[in-house]
Amino acid sequence: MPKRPLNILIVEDDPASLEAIQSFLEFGGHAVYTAEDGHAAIHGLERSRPDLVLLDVGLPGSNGFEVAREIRHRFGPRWVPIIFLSARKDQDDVLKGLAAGGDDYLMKPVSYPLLTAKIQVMQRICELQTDLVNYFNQSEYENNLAQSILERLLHSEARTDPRLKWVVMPLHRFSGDQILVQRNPDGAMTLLLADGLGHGLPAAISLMPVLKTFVKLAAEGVPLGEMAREMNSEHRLMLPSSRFTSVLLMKVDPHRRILEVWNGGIPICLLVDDRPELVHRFRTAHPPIGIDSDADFEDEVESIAWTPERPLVLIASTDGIMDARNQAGVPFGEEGLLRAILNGPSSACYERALAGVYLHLEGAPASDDISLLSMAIQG
Amino acid sequence: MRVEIESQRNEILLQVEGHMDFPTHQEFQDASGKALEAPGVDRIVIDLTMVTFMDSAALGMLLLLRERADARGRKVVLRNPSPTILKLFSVVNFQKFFEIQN
Repeated sequence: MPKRPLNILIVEDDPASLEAIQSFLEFGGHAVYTAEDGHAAIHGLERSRPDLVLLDVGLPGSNGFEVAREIRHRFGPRWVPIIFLSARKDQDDVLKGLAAGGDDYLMKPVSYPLLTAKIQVMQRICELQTDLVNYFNQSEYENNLAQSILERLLHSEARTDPRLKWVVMPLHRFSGDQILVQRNPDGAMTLLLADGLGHGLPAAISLMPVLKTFVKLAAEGVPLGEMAREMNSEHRLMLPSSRFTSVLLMKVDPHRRILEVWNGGIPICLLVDDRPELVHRFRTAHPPIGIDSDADFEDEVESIAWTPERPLVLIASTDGIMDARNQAGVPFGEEGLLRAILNGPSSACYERALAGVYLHLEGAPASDDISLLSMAIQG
Repeated sequence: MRVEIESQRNEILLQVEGHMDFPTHQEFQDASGKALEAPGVDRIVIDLTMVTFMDSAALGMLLLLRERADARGRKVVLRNPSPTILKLFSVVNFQKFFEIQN
């Protein structure tokens, strides 16, 4: 017995054969719709909404193969199983039927045990398809929810600042890389560059503790080390120990002319002057957020002072830009990035770095999220 | 990826070969599970000589193994990573959490 009664459309011009199959299927509990030719079958599709079509090959007018093609076309991405019925036994006919979009082939006179078995196979496949569609819808729903949560956190006017240039190119719908900016009333600016593990939805979820802590604490003017400590503790509270987030925290204080950096796992954070020459490299002094225990966590920040006579540009980037590989599999690398940055005036080192990686990729897709940030430090 | 397990007295050696990344994480998880359950072991050595690539998911697997090994009083040693993987380890300060042997 079928698990669920089906809507079955039978297209058959021989009344005796039609009636016999119809009674058999109705006896099995299915709802049966009939059509005597292809024209009637196609025009009745809206009404019959079949789960399965039994299609005679030798129909008057358009033959079964043409009708199958038209049914496939009408249903578009929705798959409806089509089983051909034919008195012709040669292999060419079977192949032609399958090529026209049929899913199976049954010889006439129809064997009822075989028909029952084939209907059950199609039912199983239909159920798998329904599961897949439900799974897809559920996943879309979750993606939309995660996206709207992220967007609330990321909505920040401060990210448009004349001193700041940045780009995040996500590989998937969500980027594992994120940039947040907070401008304080005293003129100081706090920045976050975060690289969550992996891509897509899991990366977005993993970024929550870091983003949320930044949004809350940066507005209160909490020192960088303390903010990093709080991120680490939130991260460990919420996420399993196999997950971590690389984080770069920066604070520019224009009154004291001091730049502070806490770097946990962001490979590139450089200062160049206007010659341009590499002035300083902020090493990854700390492990990424989420690994250290509270007791082992280190909140030291690195500070650099600047003078009005020697304006600086800070360049920061996650590993995606260095891992960008051209057609031959050669990565852009730190060397490529440095070459691009130092190859002209510092006011355009951001643009040169981006152009450099684009040219290097030679049209090949990147294999990771790519993000780049530059900030003019002057005055 | 291929993982071979070898026991040597109080040490267990995981010989990893190929790409260590998200698609192969289950295989590594299974092997490290066996290493954790083995009796009388106080060091789990991951030999990375033949590892050609490692992504951040692989780093996550190592961290997870370290946490579980810690809970059983066992040490995790990372042996002989390639220069590229060693650089990756230093970016995320893995020397703070693992003994890294060259």
